Amino acid sequence: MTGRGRFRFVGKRLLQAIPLTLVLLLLVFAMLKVVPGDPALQVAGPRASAATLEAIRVHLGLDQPVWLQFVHYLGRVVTGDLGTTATGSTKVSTLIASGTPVTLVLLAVSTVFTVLIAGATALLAARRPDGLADRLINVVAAFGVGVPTFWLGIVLLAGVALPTGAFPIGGWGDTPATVLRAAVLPALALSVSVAPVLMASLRSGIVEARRSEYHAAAQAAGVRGWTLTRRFVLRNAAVPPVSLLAALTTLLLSGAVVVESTFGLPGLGLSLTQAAQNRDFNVIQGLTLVFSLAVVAVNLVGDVLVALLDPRVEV
Amino acid sequence: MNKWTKPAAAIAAVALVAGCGSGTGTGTGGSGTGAVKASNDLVIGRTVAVDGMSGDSCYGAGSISTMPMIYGNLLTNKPDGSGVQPGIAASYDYDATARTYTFHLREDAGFSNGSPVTGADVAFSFEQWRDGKTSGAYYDMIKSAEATDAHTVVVHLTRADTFLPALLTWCTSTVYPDRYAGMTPEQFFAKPIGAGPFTFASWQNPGPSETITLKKNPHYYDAAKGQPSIDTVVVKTSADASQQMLAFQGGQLDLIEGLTADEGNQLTTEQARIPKPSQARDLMLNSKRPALADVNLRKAISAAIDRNALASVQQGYVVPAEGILPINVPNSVPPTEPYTYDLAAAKALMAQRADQKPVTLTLGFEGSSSTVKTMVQLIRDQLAQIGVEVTLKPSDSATVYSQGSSGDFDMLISDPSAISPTVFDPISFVLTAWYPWTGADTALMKDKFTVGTSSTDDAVKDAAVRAIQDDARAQSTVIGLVNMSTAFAVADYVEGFTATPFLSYDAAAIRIRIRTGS
Amino acid sequence: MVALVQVPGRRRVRRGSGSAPLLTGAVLLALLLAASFAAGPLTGHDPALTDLTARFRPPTAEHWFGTDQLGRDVFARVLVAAGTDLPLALLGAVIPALIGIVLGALAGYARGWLGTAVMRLADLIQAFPSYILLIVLVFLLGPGGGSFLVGAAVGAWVTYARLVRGVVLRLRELDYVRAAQAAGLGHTRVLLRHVLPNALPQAVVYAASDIVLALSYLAALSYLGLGIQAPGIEWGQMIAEGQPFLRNQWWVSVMPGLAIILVGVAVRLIAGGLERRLQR
Repeated sequence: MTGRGRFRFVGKRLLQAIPLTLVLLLLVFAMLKVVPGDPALQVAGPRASAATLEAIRVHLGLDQPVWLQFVHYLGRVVTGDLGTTATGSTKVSTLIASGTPVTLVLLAVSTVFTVLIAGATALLAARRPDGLADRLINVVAAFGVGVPTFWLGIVLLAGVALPTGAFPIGGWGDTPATVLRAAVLPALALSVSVAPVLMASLRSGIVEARRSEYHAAAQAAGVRGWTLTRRFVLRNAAVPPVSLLAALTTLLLSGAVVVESTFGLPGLGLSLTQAAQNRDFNVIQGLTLVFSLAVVAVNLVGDVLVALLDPRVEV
Repeated sequence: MNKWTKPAAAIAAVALVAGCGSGTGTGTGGSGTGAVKASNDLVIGRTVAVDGMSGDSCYGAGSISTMPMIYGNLLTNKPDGSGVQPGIAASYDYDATARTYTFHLREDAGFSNGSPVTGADVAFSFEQWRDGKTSGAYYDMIKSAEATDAHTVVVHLTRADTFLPALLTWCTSTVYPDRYAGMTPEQFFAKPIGAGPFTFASWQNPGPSETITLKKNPHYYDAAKGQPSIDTVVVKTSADASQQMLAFQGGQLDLIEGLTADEGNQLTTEQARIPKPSQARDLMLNSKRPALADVNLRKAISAAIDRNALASVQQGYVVPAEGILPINVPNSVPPTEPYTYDLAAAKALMAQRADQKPVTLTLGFEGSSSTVKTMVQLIRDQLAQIGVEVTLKPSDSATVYSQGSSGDFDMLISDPSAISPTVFDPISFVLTAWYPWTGADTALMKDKFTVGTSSTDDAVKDAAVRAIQDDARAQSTVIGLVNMSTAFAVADYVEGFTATPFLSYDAAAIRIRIRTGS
Repeated sequence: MVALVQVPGRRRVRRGSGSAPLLTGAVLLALLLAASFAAGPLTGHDPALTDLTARFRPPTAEHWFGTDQLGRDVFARVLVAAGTDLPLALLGAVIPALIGIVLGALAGYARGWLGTAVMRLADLIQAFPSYILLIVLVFLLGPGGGSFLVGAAVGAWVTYARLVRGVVLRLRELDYVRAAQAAGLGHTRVLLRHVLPNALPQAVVYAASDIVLALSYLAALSYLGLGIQAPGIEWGQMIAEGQPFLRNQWWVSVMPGLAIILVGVAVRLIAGGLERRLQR
């Protein structure tokens, strides 16, 4: 791919993301119309007086045509105004701002764990395809996918955090060291369900790379051991998983919602489940927007990365 | 306040379920009687967030416990719940004919910024309470408040009232510096200044997972007595009670507010502090619904509920109810005829109904609490015995409230609790909310409430309360189920902690055994 | 439910009939499902019956999995819950598979605006992480099994649609399909005779592993209080109810967790066996 071709590809991909983003915004806006009951009541809470409700209706612009309401909604989103929580004590944007770093750290640590677990097991399994280790790892991986993340989380809390005292039992930290320590067990619970997916892809990549001609050539040229693995196997085996990256991140993000609730981490996922339990409409609406925009961005970055790394992608 | 005490708050603050008698209680939290802690910090776990930093917004169990730590009150609750005792006010006089209260302030009380608490501060505070958007209605008997000297405040009332002293112990009666020490209310409540034992330091991540940090207030009125002893209080809120219990057992929490029997039965008897039960849990029956309009059905339901069974599941934390009002609160007396479980009588009442159609009813409740869930499952089974089919309808606290206030329910569970030492506190709520919601006749209760709150004679008050209880038995639109304790889990190295029945406790008196030398 | 990626147990390793694992897995699931209908007689305990004199009994010969906070038999409840979890997980995988196959075929044949619309819709759905989509739909529709199925149907059809569309696009260029069309065979018959047989094996394998995902999503939703509500009995909900007693009465929440894992293993066996069969 030429430099200009890449540039054009990235530009095209960016342009494609714009209509998707707009439709997402429209969908999230439409939630307000779908939710049962009076939207003004949803905002005002059950104890609001008739006068308050009317004022909110006017404030929300519910007396205006729908398209104008959407335009106003867009305007509010752009300025970061996503309303307040049902109790009125906190702005949704503040909630998102305080939850985002937590979720990001959790995702980062989980990604590291996932790559480490998947890489190590894939190398081990691919050593002798169909050997004992391979079969064993395949069974364990099947367990990993089948174990409910929240259940694993409970078991880790009671079985590891409590007896060792090395990790906080629920909650987050306030210094880099305590934050990392708080992230270890949740990230582990999360990786266990996602690592098998990456492992399967890596393993078949490694097996195929081993069978390839250049591998045989390198071996014949006397390249051995870790150098052989690193330079000739892993590098080639990593191409398909890179295209999986966006999908994996989406999986991790999805799992984070449950893990944050199990471990009581004050991230975006915990806010989402709490809002669903408390029927806090503004929070659900704001978080849905953030999550879906994040996925659009992740896919965008993933596609661009693949395009930059892999010469075979059409431009 | 007590007001419907937001089911979430009440439930969190309330003790429930389990306590299966034997075979439990092997917990190790805090470990051993000789246990010590490395630092002089108290880390508190709770499940309910505060409602904000102003007293006006105080409503749930989180604020009820936190506000007094920061602000201090003119009067406080006696730890045994038998009445009020001096706080920032050393004493007060009530003149019924002149309708005035005179408060004499301590001279050694000081705000966290170093200024002393004066009459002007207290007079200003009375005005703020009365003019509050959320809780102002509680103070509508206040006409004006004036500082007659640096340490005396006279409060003029619009009517005779003996309820005010109890009200002054509430978390809404927070003492502020005059004119918010020159700040706007917004600035002030972002970093409040109070005369309580602790000083506000930070409030991170406000909401269900918030962390509040408080530091010792060196100007606290009992500083000379060495109070508070603790340097730092950290309050960690999380919605997951069972996880908090694990954290407590792992030594990561020193105190848990609102311990339920589900968690408490895993602790030693020294660690689980269970005051006398003083929170009622009641069942509302909507008499505006055709089936429930028949008093025979309502009485049958009451007779078919085995309150001993409900309480046995939460042994040690819960006792069966005799009437609709919380027990162990001053002037709380049972009805002339307490509730009895009588299946035969219940079936006979069912047979006396005018309309013999089979009955299907919904039962609404706050669904996030495992202890309530256990209770409603038992009630469903018990009512099946008299042929009443019950559909369980869990929802969140706001929805339960709106179902109640809009009359959109058959049966609904909620908890009227006292947060100050008078039974008229929960009565005021039943009178203004539950009775109208269930379609009950409010005439007798209204009359007896006025009689009780304008008298200083205990015999008069008791008689009024008994009449209210009997009236509730006769109408059976609100029926009592159980009375619950507001329990706490306390680590072995925490000393001087006394649980009161009113969701709050004296944090200034708490000491921590610290590891010294070695 | 977004089975967009390869999952272990779905790979071309050993050739073989696949009969043994297929049979083992199928028998396990069938037994569990059958037992769910006869939980009372099998265990000798009514799964819904509370007995306050028998609370928190540890596992014994009388109560194999012990009893819970209301004295109910945990084994009977785990079995009854299978009658909730298995059908919902199955439907949560099959419904989206059917929708996806139909929409995918549509998108492959109708190359005009209709095909584009279907694929754009697929892009849109994939912009929502699955749990978030589920939680939002449950929020809008109210908790319960029905909402779960709607969420699963909305979220998981995309994989199948992409798969079938790919097969259609590939096949329609093949000579025999062109010949069939030239011979006057209608779209439907071409679809049934040629497209489906080509796409089905992979779709079936996807669906098998989707069952595991659907089950873990259902359990997670119920655990969070957004799925099956009491008096319905469901594994995730049982785990949540038993969580406060984890330290002293571990069996209340550990047993339903093991049941979920057992189903995961059984479905994996079936998926592995099926794959080998279909690839022969």
